[in-house]
Amino acid sequence: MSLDLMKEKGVGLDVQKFNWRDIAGVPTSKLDSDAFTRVRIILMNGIESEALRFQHACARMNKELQLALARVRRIEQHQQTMVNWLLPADLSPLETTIGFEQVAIEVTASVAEHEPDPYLAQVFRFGLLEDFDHMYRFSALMDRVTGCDANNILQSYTDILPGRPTAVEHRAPEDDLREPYDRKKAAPISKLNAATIMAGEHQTHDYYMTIGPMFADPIARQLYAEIASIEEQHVTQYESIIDPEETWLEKWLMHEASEIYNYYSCLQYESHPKVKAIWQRFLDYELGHFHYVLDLFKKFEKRDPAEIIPESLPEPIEYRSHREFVRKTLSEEVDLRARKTQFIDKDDEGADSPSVVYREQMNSKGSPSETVAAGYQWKPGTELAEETPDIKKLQTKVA
Amino acid sequence: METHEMDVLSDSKQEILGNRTGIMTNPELSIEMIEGAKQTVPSSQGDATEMAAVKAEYIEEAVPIGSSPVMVEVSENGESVGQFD
Repeated sequence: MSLDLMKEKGVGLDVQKFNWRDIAGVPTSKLDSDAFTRVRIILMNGIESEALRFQHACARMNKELQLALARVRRIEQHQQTMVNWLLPADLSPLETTIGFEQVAIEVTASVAEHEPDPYLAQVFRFGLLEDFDHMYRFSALMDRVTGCDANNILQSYTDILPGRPTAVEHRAPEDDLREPYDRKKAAPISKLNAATIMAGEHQTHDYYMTIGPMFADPIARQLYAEIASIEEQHVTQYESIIDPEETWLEKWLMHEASEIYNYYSCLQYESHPKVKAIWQRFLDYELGHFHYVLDLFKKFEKRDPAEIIPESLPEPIEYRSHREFVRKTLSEEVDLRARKTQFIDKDDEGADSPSVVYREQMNSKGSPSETVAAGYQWKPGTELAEETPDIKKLQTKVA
Repeated sequence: METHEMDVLSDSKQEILGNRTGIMTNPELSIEMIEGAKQTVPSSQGDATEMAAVKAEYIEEAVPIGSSPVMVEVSENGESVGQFD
């Protein structure tokens, strides 16, 4: 049964309290927790990060909302900390990166599969195949630089295969913008989908920009620089599908609705009891935020919120392997490119098109994503698990 | 069987069952994943030696270990007037 946003009040802001022990709880396990628990933790950190980003921008433009924003934002920041601190200390930056790309693939696939607007669904599939390729490149990096298998993190839910080659994902800015949904006509699920994926991509960009310079290996440094640039393009793409005519308060209300929708989705699929309790607690907190903003919306805009808010939440995001959907999309759409807001076949890209010219410039002194994955084919246990005569001899001895 | 031997066997079994690689987590999904990877060709030819070549370029450009930072001398009116000896 779905959640009725107007009836469910959650808990009020005055009882949403934390302490440092509470915020920094016992983390999840890198290998013993289900990969989708980590996927949800990473996504929800991104959702809370976007809540803060939006609320700061809103405060800079709206004096009369500053105190209300500060009150809600304090709680959102503590929520983000509590969620992000669920990641364990032994999860390396590169392993976390594999987790980030698993989020980008599985969550975007779920969103693309359920998006009712055909154009927006195409936008999501277009971005999906690019993040899918990032997984392949980062897995090659992990294999060849650290000797580790990315599938220890993925737990076989997500493929490690080439997608739309990262080297051709570099586009001129005019080819990254898309058509926005119409705020008066779009289905609520379309608005929630856009807000969710934009948040996920934005935190991915910021994370790669933070950890990229921490690597000693020059190809790792180049690869993070290259893929961070694509993630920035993805933020440009996904924020452009959101109607810019929405008012500040309308956007704030939609942000809160998106947080509710996401915690609700996490709650439906969570298997880790302690993490599940956090999703329930924060779902109640977000319902409290939503109703707090709802009152502000009525006070300042004097509009009926029913114009923009669905009575009940759509079906939750599906936290499961989307292998079949991703492979089908890959076989049918890997050769798509973008020209302004539309998608075209690669054969229709002229040699002098802005994106081709830009791409050639960026790759003029080599392509990190091509170099790192030259001849790379994922196999369990890394490239070192090749059956060499020595290994066979060892296997015979052990047997 | 001695209790001691039973403990050893039990430990071995636990070790196998406790294998925490991604493959052991979801054996059925692992088969799909391995088959998919086998049927797909790499996006470009070559191997990891290309990475080594890039690394070699960087090593050539790198500042020697132990070199000290250059200090710039600034005059009273805030202009750069050269380096300290």
